Parts: sequence; C-alpha cells; structure tokens
Amino acid sequence: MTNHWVDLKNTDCALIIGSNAAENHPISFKWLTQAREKRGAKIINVDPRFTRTSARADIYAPLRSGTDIAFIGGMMNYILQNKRYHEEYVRWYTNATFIVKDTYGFDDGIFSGYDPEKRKYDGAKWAFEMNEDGTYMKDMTMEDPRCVLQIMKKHYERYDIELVCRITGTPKNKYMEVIEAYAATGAPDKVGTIMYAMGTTQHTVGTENVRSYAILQLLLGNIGRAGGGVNALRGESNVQGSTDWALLYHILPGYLNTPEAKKHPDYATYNAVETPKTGYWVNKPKFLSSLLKCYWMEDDPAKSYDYLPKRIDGKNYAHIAMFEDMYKGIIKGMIIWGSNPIVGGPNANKEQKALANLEWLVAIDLWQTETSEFWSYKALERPTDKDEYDIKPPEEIKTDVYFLPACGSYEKEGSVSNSGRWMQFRWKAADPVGESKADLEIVHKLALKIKELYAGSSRVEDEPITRLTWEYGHGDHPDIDIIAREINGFTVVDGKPGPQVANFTKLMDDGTTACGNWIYSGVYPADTGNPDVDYLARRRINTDDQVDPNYPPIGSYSQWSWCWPVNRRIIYNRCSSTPEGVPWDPNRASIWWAGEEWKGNDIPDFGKTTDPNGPGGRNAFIMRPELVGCMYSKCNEGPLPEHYEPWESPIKNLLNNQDLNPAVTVFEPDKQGTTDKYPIIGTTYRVSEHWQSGIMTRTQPWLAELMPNCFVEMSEELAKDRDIKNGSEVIISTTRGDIKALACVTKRFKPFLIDGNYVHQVGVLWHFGFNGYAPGEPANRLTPHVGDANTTIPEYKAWLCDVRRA
Amino acid sequence: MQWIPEYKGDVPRVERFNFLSRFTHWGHTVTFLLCLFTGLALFLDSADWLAAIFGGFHGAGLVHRIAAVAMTIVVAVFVVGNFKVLIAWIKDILRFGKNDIIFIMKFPLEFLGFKVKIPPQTKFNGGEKGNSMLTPTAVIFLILSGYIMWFPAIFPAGLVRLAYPIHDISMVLATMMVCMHGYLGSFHPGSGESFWGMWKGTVREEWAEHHHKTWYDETYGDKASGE
Amino acid sequence: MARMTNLYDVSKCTACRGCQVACKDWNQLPAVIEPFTGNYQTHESTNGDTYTIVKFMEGEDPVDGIYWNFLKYQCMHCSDPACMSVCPQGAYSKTSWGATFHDPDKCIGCQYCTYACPFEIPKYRKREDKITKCTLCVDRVEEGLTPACARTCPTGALTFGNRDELLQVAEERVKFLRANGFPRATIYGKLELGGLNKLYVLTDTPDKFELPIDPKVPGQITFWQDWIQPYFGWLIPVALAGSAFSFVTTRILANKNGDHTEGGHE
Repeated sequence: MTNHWVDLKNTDCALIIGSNAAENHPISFKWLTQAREKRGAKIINVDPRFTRTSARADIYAPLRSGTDIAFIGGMMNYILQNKRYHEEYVRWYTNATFIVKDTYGFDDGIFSGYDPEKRKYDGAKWAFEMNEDGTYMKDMTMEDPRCVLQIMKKHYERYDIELVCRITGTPKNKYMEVIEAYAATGAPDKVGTIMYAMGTTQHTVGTENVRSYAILQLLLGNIGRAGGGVNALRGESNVQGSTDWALLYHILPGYLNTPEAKKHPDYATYNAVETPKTGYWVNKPKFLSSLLKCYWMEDDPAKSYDYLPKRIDGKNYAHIAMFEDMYKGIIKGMIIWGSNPIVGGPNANKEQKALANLEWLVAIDLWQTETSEFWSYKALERPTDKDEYDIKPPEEIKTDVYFLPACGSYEKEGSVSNSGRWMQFRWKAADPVGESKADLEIVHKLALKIKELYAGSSRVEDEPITRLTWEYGHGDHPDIDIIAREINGFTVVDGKPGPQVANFTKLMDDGTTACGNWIYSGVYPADTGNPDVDYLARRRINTDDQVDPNYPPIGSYSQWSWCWPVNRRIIYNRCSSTPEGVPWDPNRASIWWAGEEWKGNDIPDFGKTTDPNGPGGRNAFIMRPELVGCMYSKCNEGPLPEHYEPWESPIKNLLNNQDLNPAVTVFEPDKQGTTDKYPIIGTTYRVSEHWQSGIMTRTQPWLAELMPNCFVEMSEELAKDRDIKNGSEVIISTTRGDIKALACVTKRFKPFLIDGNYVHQVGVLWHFGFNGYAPGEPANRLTPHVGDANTTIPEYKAWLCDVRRA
Repeated sequence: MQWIPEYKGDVPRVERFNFLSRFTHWGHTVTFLLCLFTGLALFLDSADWLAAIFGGFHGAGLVHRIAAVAMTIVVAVFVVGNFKVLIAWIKDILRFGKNDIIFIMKFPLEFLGFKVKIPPQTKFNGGEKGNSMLTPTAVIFLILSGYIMWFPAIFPAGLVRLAYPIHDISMVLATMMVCMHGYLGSFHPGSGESFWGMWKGTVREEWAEHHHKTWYDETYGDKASGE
Repeated sequence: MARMTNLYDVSKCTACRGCQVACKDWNQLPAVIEPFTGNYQTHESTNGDTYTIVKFMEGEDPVDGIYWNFLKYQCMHCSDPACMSVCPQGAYSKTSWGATFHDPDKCIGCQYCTYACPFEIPKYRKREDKITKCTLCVDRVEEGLTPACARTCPTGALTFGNRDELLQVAEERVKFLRANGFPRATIYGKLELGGLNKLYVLTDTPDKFELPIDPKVPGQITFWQDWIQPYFGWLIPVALAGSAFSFVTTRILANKNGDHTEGGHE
C-alpha cells in the first residue's frame, strides 16, 4: 500500500477492483464504512461476481476476468478526452510533460523493439529525449504530440466505451456510473483510492493491470494524498514483510536486485550497472555494502560480494519455472516452508507429479500439509479416470519426506509487516505445542548445524559459510533483540557491532556500517537499554495528535508501531500539496511548506528544507530517476498498459491482433484449452472463512463448520443450461485435470454479454485439499502453468473449463 | 360410614363389563393418573413437590412419557381387542334421547342424594353418556397433542403451538371428568354399585334393573333378543 | 442498571461471521457441520450448539438489481419474553439490564419456549435434554466486558452499550441511510414487541431480512397463557369440591331416610 489501512477513512471514493476486500480483508471495511459515514464516500466494486464486497458497495459493475486493462483504459480515455484529470498535479508531479524519442512506436498491439523469436522487447526504444545537460526534455504545456500525455491520449483513444463494454461484458450504464463516480476524484480537493489484490495481479498481464491503476491515480492526482493511493491488500499478515525481506528470487532485502553471473560479475560492476544517476537510489551502493557487511561482518564488501550466489543471466526462478525444472528432474531437493503447492500452486496435478522427482523434501508447517503427504493414497484419488500427468502411486515414489512441526504465530515473538508497511511487534501468548518450534528457531539451528559441518574447511568455495557472521545469542531461539538491532543497522567497530545508526541516511558504502534491510533502518535507532522504548515496532501509543491548528490530524497514528520508510505513513506525500506547498485539501493535509521547512501530519517524503519554489522543489517522487510519477515507464511488455486476452480466452482480442501478452513465456503450449471443449471461463478465489490453502482453517472445527465444502459458483442460466441443481455435485474439467465440487447456483453470477454472445463464468474456492475437517478437492488442479510477463505470478484468475453434473 | 357400597355376592348378578373392558379401564386409570401427577409436577409450579416422588423433574418427565406410551397401548388394545364392545358403546351413546335429557336435568338433585324419579336408562345413563363423549375425546386429543409436543421437529410449528393449549384444555376436561366419574362410580351411594361392575364385571340384577332399565330389559329381561 | 443492548447495523456488516465463531469460542460450543445447501449460510437457524448465525439472503429487485442481505440472527432478548411467561419451571429471568437469561439447571427440556418465541430462538440440545440460547454474554457483561460477538466485530457493525444511546445512534444511521441510497432503511427492535433488547439498523424492510414485520407472540400461546391457564384450570377443583359436597349430602340424606343400601331414585 502506498497508504495504509487507517487512511482508507480519508477517501471520497474507493474503487475496489480485483479484490474482495470485505471477505478477505475484513478490517478494510472498518475504515471504509467510516469514510462513508463521515465523508459520504462512495464505494465502487468491480468484480466478475457479486461478492460480499459488492453487497456493501454503492456501485457494483461486473467485468469478465482478465479485462482490467480494457476497463481502466476506457476510464483513462474518458478522463483524457473530457479533461477530467487533475491538470496541475499531472503537469508537475508526473512525466506527462516528458518528450518521448521517435523510436517509440505502437502498431496493432506491439510496441517498437519487439523480438518475436525471443518474445522480448528492447526497452531502449521507448526512452525519453534528453537535453544536452542530461536533464529530461519536457513540454510544460503538454501539447507536444510526442509528450507522454499526448501519446497516452492517442494510445487510449481506441478504448471507447462501446468497445470496452464489448470486451469486459460490463453493462454500459454501470460502466458509465463507475467512470463518473471515480472521475469526480480528479477535482483538486477530492481523493479516490484504488484497492486491489490477487484478482488484479494473478494474470498474464498482472503487472500492467497494477500499472494501469497507478496511471489512473496519477491522472486523477490521487497518489501521495490522504485517502488516495494504489493499495495492494496483502493476503497474509506478513506478505508485505516477506516481500521487503526478499522472499522472491529476484531481490535481496530492501529491493536490491539479486546479482546475475555475467551482468554483475563483481562488486564494482554491480554498483555501476544498478545505480541510477538521479533519484534516491543513487545511494544503492551504501545499502548493498551495509547488507553485505551484515552477512559477512569481518570481510570487505567488495570481497564478500563474491560470496553472494549469482543467478544465471535471464533465467526465471519463479514458482512455475521452479516446478517446471523439478518436473524435468533438474531440482533434486526442496525445503518447503509454510507453503502447500499441491493445493495452492498452479496446475497442482503437475506440481504433485514434479514433487515425486525429488530425492528429498523437508516440509515445515503447523499441520501435515497435503504437500507433505503428496505421496499418499489420499493424494492419488481423483474424481474421474482422466489423469493428464500420470500421477505416481505411493509405491513408486522414492522421495524421502521429512516433516518439521512449526508453531503458530501466537506461540512465538517477533514482528510482522502489514499491508500498510507497519512493522508491528507481537508478543508470545503461549508456549509452542509439543515438539513444534518457532520458524526462527528452526532456521537458527539449521544455520548453526551447517556452519558446524563446514567448520575447519579451508576451501575457498566454502567461505560463504565458514566466514558467515551468525551471532544471535546462545539459546536455541535466536535473540530477537540482536536481530532487530541488526535490521536497523549499526556502525561496525573492529568487526563487531558498534552503536546503532539513526536511519538509512547514516549508512556508508565503505564497509563501516552494517544493516540487514535498509528500508527498515530507523526501527531501532537508540540504545537506552529498554527494548520497549528503543525498538519502535513495539510502540502502542494510539493517539493521533493535532500538530497545526489549521490542519486536523489525518489518522497517521505515528506513535503506534513503526512503518518503513522512516515511519512515513503515506509515501510520495509531497503530492498532497500544491506545487507551491499548500495542501490541496486542508482537511486532509499530509505535509505543507511552513516557510522554512516542511511540516505535517506525516514525515515528509521530500527534502525537509527544500523550498517548493526553488530548484527540485517539485520533484515529488524521489525514488524515481525521473523524480516524478511515471505514467509512461518500462515493463517487459511495453511502456503503457495494453489489453491482451488471457492465455485461455473465449474470444479474440478486439483491441489488437495479439491475443496473448507478447512478452509472456508459455510453459506448456499443449495444455491450452479451447472454447470448443472448454467454453466456460473459470476463476479461483478465497472466502473469509478459510485462509490460503486451508491448512490453518480446515483443521479448525469452528472455521470448517462455516465453509465445509469446496463449491463452484455459477449463474442460474448456466445451471439451467447444464441441468445442474443447486447444492449438487459437479465436475469441473480443464486440459490440466478434473475436480469435483458442489454447485452453488446463484443470482450473483451472471453470464457476460461479450461481443454479442453470452459467455459464462464460474468461480471455484481454492482452499481445499484432502486433509482436515473440511476436505475437498484442490481447485488448482485446474489452473494453468502460465504467468505474468514480469513476475511470473501464475494466471489463477482466468482460464477455460467445462462444468457438468457428477 | 360407608365408602363404597358393599359387594353382595349372594344376590343375583348380571354381567356389565367383559374382562378386556375392565382390564383396559384400569390400565387407563393407572396410566392416566401417572401422566396427570407427573404432568402436574412438571408444569404446575405449586405441584413441584410431586416431582420428588418420581425422582425429580427428569424422572417425572421419563415417567410421563412411559405412562403416555402405555396409555396409548391400552387405548389401542381396547379399540382393537374389544371392537364389538366399542361399537356397542358408541351405538349406546348415539341413542341419546329424551330420557337422557331428563336424567341430566334431574341429576343435580340425585347427585346431592335426593330421591328423584328418573325415566328408564340404557346401558349408560345420560351422565355416563356425557362422560363417554367427553373423556375419550379429551384423551385422544391428549395423546395426539402429546406426541406432537414430544417430537416437535417433525411437525409444523403452528401445529406444535396449537398442541400446547389442546393438551392443557384436554387435561383439564379429562381430569374434571375423572374426578366426577371416580366419585360417582365408587363413592356415590346411588351409583356406587357400578364400581363392582367395573371391578368384578357384574352388578346386582336388581340394581341393573333399577338403574339401567332399558339395558336390563334388552339384555337380560323381556326384550332380550335371543341371547 | 440501565438497559444494555447490542446495536447491529447491517449496512456495515460484511458477513465475515467472526461473531458466529467468537460466540462458539466463548460459550465453548462444538462445531456441527451441516450439508451444503447451495448457500453460504451454515445452519438454517440457530440450534442447540449454535446461539447465533449470520443469514444470507439473495434476491433480485427489478429496480435495484441484485441484493445480498446479511443478518446476524440470535435471541432478541424481548422486554416481555414469551419464553419466560410459558416456561413451566421458571427457568427464564430478566437481568436488571435487559438480558433474557435462561438457567439450564431449571430447564426440563419441554421446549414450550421454542414455540412460544416469535423468532423460534430457544433451541433444544438433545445430548443434555435442555434448551439453549444466546445469553447476551451475561457472564461477560456482568464482569464489565462486552459480549463476545460485539467484541470481535471488525467493521463496527455490532456494538454494545446503553439502549437509549444506541437508539439515538440507530436513528441517526437510518436518517443517513435513507438519504444515501436506502429509502426503505428502518430500525428494528425499537417498538417491536414493546421494544427488543437487540436493535437492528436495516437497509430495507424487515421481510427482506427474513424478520417478521410485526412480530407477535403466537395467538395459540397468548390465548392459552391469558385465558386457559388462569381460569379454565379451576374446573378441576370445582369438580373435586362438588364431589366432596355430594359425598356429604348423600350420606346425610341417607341417614335421614334410614336407607343405607339404595341411595338414589325411586
């Protein structure tokens, strides 16, 4: 989230798209209902099906799964054509004024620089014109035909209302209602927020979906303002934390790219390649140096950089790619930690088959997951004879499986980072049950054991382990206080931890500081000896003080826990004020220019004393090299979001002749379903009552009672067509497999009128597996191995299937 | 003081009730009284103390249900096993006529012990006919409503709600009739002889002729039809 | 003590059913998994092991389109509860602050209350042969806590407090809702049955939430309660007294006539 949960109360209009916030983020509605009650805010929900969120929304508009860019593109077109955008904001805080080089081009769904062989773009073709002094060439009138605003106008003029509705299946009157309500937030004193989740990201165009929201928000002047922002609602209490902490293959903690072998052969090259010339990222070498110092405290960063594992250049290590490698027998062993891919992974049949190729598997979880029992007869059972992947029976599986019981979150202490980037410490409430252990304890003992096994080795290739600094106290459980201090960073004195640094501005690139994650630097700045005071994530002061009589507080609650960066609750908050530094709306003032410095209800995301009328006084996006919000930017599939159909789609692309996103990797071309056999759109989703792959909820009788069965929601029209009774058993099939589920026939799903024909869509809950009090079949046996062009996040949300009576 | 008229075995006697009639009558008496007392224990605050006899409310509830089932069986046995008698009984009730009306009009005086002139009666006099109509009806309602209350889940809610007052009204009516019937059939000097009719099966011939002239004549006297 | 009550504002409820679980947790009620009926609702109504449920009601309005209404359903804690008046054992009582409390120790499982209740709330728990129902968390409230359901509600749809104050809040909410797209918004429980100790803010008419528009204690129950029980029962003592009187008079008259054998007519 650019903003945070409490801030939702400040909005005038919330556009919930690709998210079922009421069901999967119930707390969001605490604040949205306040916004409605106190500000008369409107809540808009755009979703293929009428959900519990829709039931609480003021406007509900259906759209076919996978057509977000068409939907948002149509909105942008309307806003651009009717000049409903926030002009001053767009002029000063976005790259709308930037002139694009004439190498940029766009023809029938393909941008310039495309290599169809490699399915890759050369992004250099989309660059901006530069002035001779190295600054960006701009046209402040935004009328130059090659300025970003004009290019966008041209790009999106094809997205007219009629065509968009033919693609998305949204009734035109509903679409217009949404556009009117949301475009109203383009007024300078109005703010709208976009709330999204997996319905947005889990597509072959997931990244561009999010970017389309960001562009819309920049156009309407809604970024960096209280009640605005692009807000990713995280599906777990600590997804934000795990991303910050690099639970993805392409980053190190703090969003530093992981090195690639040829591109970044050494420390100096990495810094040269990865460090931009402008923006705050010019400090990147300091962050990398401090991180390396934290890992190998006794070594010089230039040397310890070599200890970092390097990726094969350009190789994809994401979930799907990893399981494809496992399927091919390349990966031999796996530690699977708090994850359950044969329920939660895409194409679960294939992933189950892939697991059998492992020599060993260590599963760590609270309960025996389906994945830890992938070798069992229960895992073998299928509702029909169709077996696309030739799943092996137990007697043929040779994998050694080890299960380590982990304890629950209430049985351990530590911090989690919520969607709003708040790092909140949680105290332990009860001792772990039985032999279960805290995750940290497991990793700690594992690390110590590995170090012990390598002890005494003088081989140079063992140095990453033998020289690794692992000093976290003497108990079985590492000392959390030591870890928290290391996260914050400290000055290294004689190869040992010295005084704490105040925040990341004090980090150095010469190996004199160590810091576990630069964005969290500042969470443990002082050293009075009382962790309750020093460790700011432990703070629980719930006051929202007024700092200026002219500007009421905005719900920052700055002394409750701590949030990165430097406790700044709303990022890009320079945008909350006019170019001259006066809040756009005095009732929702984030920061303002007080004559000599910036003051505010929040920590300025800007030079504290930078005069708004002086040099750089309007560079609101300090993290970008362009120093402004980028509507036109670089993604693997182009500089502007363009609508492409899902990999499995019931229709041809009506906007261009590229059906699939041109930059997407197709892993299994033979498993593409077609409309003749699979005419129905399928999607998967969650419900309030269960959590993720259901391991923590299907094992809980009271929660199992609430949602005991895997069901598939479908329209009354489809049920009538297929002679399916409400509550009866049905079989859903795709080219990847079949599952059995119960039919939930409802008025809340309606067939979509797509380009003159009715197309049905069904939705399956994906929480179920064969274990627990509420067993059911994993919906992910249906989903394909295809993902987003940038992140490879799987396409869980739009695929083709068929439904019949069981 | 004499309670029940003395049994006289040395005078001519005629049969009034067959064995099954007597057996079911007394079976019904016992089960009804058990239901009554357990029911009162359960539902009448001032009769809570009765529950102690049955081992508390739970015990009283159990006895109530067991007795209710037994009562149902008794009624069923009578209806099935004594079908002819039942038909005769119903026929007799249907012969409700002027003599019965006069009986009922004069009954209060007789009830108090005055000597009154009453026209000849059939097997059951006007009062008994009234009892014969009211009590079985009440009992049938008691049984039906009782089962509805016992298994409310399988009946419509409206019917269950109706069952409560019906059970209650039937109980009051039946209990009232039982009181009167018990008294008249045992302790009342005039009609007390009928107690022996229900206990031993026979009544004094002279009493039968005196109290149920029409029945006596039709069964044992001049008008007896070849039996 | 002032009347304390729950205010449940359906316009804020997202049907997450945290209240349903919190209730089972606090009251330590077992889970009872029922067959799937094609609806999100877990149970048709409350049952012996489920004091509160969230109902899901979907429909289509020709003007407003699809609606999906949610309603937390439990004991309404009536001010003059029918359950209490029919209970033969006096197992029900009203607390000073308005909860209708059912004492399982006194309950004999007769289920009169279930059918007397206009909302059919008290439910039979077979394994104990007792009636159970929502207690309004008497055990929590009397220790200064809020009921478990209100404590857990994430959106603020469910609150607990002084009934008069909550009634004012409810009036304000209804005013707001009527002006903001819900012209038929209404309060439920303010006047119904003389004022319930559960207040609802509804976004539509009560029938759209499967609530009786004008709840009444069933006629059979009131008739029985008000007429049969107080008066009709006297027939039994009257019959007994009459018999006793007759017993005496017959014997007096018989003594007078010197006739021992033949009372009655001649």
